[in-house]
Amino acid sequence: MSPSTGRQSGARELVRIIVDPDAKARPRTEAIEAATTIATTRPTLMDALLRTVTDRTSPVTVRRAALRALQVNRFRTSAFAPFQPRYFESLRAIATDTDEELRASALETLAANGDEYGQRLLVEGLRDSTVALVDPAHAVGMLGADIHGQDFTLLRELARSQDKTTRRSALRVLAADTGSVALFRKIARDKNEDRVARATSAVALQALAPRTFKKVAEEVALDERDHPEIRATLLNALAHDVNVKPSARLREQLPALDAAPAQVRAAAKLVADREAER
Amino acid sequence: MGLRSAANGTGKVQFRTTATGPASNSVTLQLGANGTPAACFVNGRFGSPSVADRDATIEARHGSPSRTVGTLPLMVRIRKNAIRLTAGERRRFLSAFAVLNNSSFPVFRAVHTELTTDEAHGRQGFYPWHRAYLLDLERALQAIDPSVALPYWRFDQPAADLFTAGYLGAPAPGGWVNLAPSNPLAAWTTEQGVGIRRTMRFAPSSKAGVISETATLATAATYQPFWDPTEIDPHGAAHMSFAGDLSDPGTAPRDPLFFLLHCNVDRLWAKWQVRNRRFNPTNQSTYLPQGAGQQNNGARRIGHCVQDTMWPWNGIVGGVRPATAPRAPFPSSPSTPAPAAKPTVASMTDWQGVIDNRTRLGFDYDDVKYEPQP
Repeated sequence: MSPSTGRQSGARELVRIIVDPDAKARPRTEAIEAATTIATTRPTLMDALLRTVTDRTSPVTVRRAALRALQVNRFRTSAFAPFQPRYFESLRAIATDTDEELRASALETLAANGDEYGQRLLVEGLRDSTVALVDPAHAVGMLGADIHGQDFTLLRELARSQDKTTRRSALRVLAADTGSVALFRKIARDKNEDRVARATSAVALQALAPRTFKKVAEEVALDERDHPEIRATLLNALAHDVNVKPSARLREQLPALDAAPAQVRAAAKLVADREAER
Repeated sequence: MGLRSAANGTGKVQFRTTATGPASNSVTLQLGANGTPAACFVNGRFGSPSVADRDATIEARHGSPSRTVGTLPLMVRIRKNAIRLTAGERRRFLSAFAVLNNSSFPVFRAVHTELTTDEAHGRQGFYPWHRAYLLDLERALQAIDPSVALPYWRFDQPAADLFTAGYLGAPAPGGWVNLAPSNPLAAWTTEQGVGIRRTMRFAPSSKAGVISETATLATAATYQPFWDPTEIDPHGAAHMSFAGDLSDPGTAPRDPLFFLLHCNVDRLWAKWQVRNRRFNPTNQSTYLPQGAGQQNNGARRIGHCVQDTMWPWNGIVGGVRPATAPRAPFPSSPSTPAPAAKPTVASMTDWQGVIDNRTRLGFDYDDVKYEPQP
């Protein structure tokens, strides 16, 4: 048997096992693993993987293995390109799957690549929790990979969510929204706010409105009554910001921060060191 | 006149009287009576890298008895396993990266998107292109802090320390990692917002779902059958050990871990090269395809043949190349003349300068030996 014939018969055997509805899950997943590094050079193997992902009669462990094999191969982008349209069709087909892991994986890739169907499913789930396919915090993060202007209105609503994790996720993604500067300024200054929300808001200002960020960051950093964690975060952000130079007032007050809590002191030293380097 | 590596430094060097001669911890040189200098070659001593700038010293000694007449502090700067950095090394690396995030990092991300991946993936240029990409970023970090070298994430071993709030981020609800207030990366921002989106698909105390280093290095002894499967596993498999930005080729560089992941991918190529002595770019076992590429999108696509220059650093746009070239030309280095402003695929192969010392790229790995070929 020639090497080429041998490889073809090897691929045929792998295909046979992968799609065999009567085979147990383990040999099928082992066949998928064996096929992974050669799949893009064997269209029959790619076909088997694509069929298996969407085959709801197959065990979920087999379907997950098939999806992983496809995802790994997608990093060989030019070799994967001929299969990409069918791959995305498969992802759309499993975006509403009963298995949470499959649908989350599918929606992640669809959203990151600007797929309208995937993005629509995520938005619908955020508006109506009864049709949500993934938890809202993850949905927001996925949408953020390819955010559209109209989504900001929804995200501003979610920034008022009672669920802390969802709210934090929304604030993170709103950092791309110039219409949220006032919101971020308000949250960053409010000592009663969730600390992660405050830190996120201040950092969002750093990108959206650098002068406002500088004003808020210095104000909070020098406020002895504010939380050390927030003060340290903002001093840290100032220390690493090449676009913003600390004001004369902050530079004068830095030595006084030697008496501050340890994490504030350490962050103040970073600012002082950076100033010395300038 | 003698030169020696000071005994009390952390970093240590070795000397050779010729580029490929034997190394020793000291060397005696004959200076000309009229002050004509004498040349020698210096390299870091394997196993004795620096942990800070200027913690290595070359002593010049003269006379009988010999005494020190001059010293030169320097650094043996090496890419290390990320979990073995000292606290100072870690802090400096994270600080430099945080500063870069506020300056030119968006341009680095623009080089590795869905629209540009054909320059670097799915064909043989995968390894050399990413070597250039990492070196470009590393030089940008070194322009901020010259003591910094890119660390690598050894993904076939547990690396729990890396996935903590004080380092590259701890797993947290909602898909965004938790970063400590004191972490320079706490203000990490990309076009998708504040923070790093990453969910681990393996336990922090376990290794990622990739083949072992031993298996990777044993894949094949020549380039083509080495590159082909390893681009998928361990490279693609390391990416897919996460959900979030790392799991998509277009969004992966938004996560700083991308660069540590690829640093290990490059290290594996480097180890493979040393094991099989694959440094000569004109040798088909070192790299295929040889010659120059063609514009069309076939097996000899331009950018993936050994004589080709690489986008974006060549500044070429249009045709099969992307529409813009955000990182052109390649940045120079104070420590080496290589690569050229428009680096070729070939210029990435002899990174240590074992055949031609002038081709050294100015980086190396803590567990990869330097053994120049006579």
